[in-house]
Amino acid sequence: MKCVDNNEIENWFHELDCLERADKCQAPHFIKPFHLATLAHRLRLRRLSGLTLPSKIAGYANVMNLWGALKIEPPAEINHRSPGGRYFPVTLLCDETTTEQTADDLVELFKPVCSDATTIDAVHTMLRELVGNCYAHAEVEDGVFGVICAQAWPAGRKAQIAIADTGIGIRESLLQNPALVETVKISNSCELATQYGITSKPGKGHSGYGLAVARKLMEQNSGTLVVRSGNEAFCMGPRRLQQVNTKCVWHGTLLVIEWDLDVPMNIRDVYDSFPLPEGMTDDDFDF
Amino acid sequence: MTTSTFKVPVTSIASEFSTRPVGAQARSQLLHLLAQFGCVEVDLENRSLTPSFADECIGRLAGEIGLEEFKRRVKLVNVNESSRPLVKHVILTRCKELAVH
Repeated sequence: MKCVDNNEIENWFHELDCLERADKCQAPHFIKPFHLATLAHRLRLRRLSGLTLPSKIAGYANVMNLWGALKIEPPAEINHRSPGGRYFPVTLLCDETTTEQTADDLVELFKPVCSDATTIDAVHTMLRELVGNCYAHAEVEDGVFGVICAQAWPAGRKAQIAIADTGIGIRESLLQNPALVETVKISNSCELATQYGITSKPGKGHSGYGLAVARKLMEQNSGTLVVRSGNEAFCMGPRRLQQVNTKCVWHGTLLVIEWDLDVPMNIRDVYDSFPLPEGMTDDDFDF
Repeated sequence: MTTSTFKVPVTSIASEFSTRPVGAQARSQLLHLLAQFGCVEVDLENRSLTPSFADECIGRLAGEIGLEEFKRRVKLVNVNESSRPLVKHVILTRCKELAVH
């Protein structure tokens, strides 16, 4: 099974543009959660209904409860399919108090296909943090802070989580931090946001842990992390590190996290890698 | 304020251990307890904390009262093995911010 990459996402965004312009698009060769998370936003925001989607997409969308989540009528004809694998259906993030429950429900997807409790704890913590970040940072006006869905492929030993929002995007968010303005001007904001300690809201509570944790865990796993926002993308994968300006634009932020179910991850190692403030030592705590 | 120690399970001051708003509410309750008691023992019940919750509840509490007073008056017990370096990290980071500003 091919790992997700930025080109695959770019191609799909092009198809989404075609769908909006011409009411038709081509199905991807291998359909994954990120296709659905982004399609959900496009359908939701443009109030597109009565579409003629390729049967591969319509069938997958049906399995992933896209129509139910958006409360729209499904296409007249759906080719029902039961593809292999396990799913977490398309879910709209509308209520911050459900952050932990959403992450709890999502991690249940992975427990039967990953027996390592430390890895499950790492994924669970990452999810709680990233879902919470959607509510904290997206700054949306319509009450939908994001869309999340996921799939595990037990036979392919891979899993993918996609979280998409249509908020202000990473660049605009980071520019709210006066100390980052000059850095943001000369940086790929998607990559910058994955660095430890980078936050849009210093002193207002936020500390920028979510994407830094995701990046460190994917480094441990040799997994893939793709961050897209505006016309920027950061893609970190096995033997690949890419920062690019993209042709297609995503108004908001899209995270795609894909990992190997057989490679362990440990959140404690991530925390151990966080630098301590200069002059501070952590060896005299009694817990 | 009495000189006694008040023991509080984290589950009685926080409904979950993921988000900043809930972490902030828990911190507010701990500050209230610190106004009444000399020491507060927080039983974290081996719960897995997110960085945001840990930072908002524990890190910012330490930042508000200062590192020395935090060490003297707040006792953390049953800290989840995985979360231990995180908890130390958020305490020291917030206290350093206080020292700098």
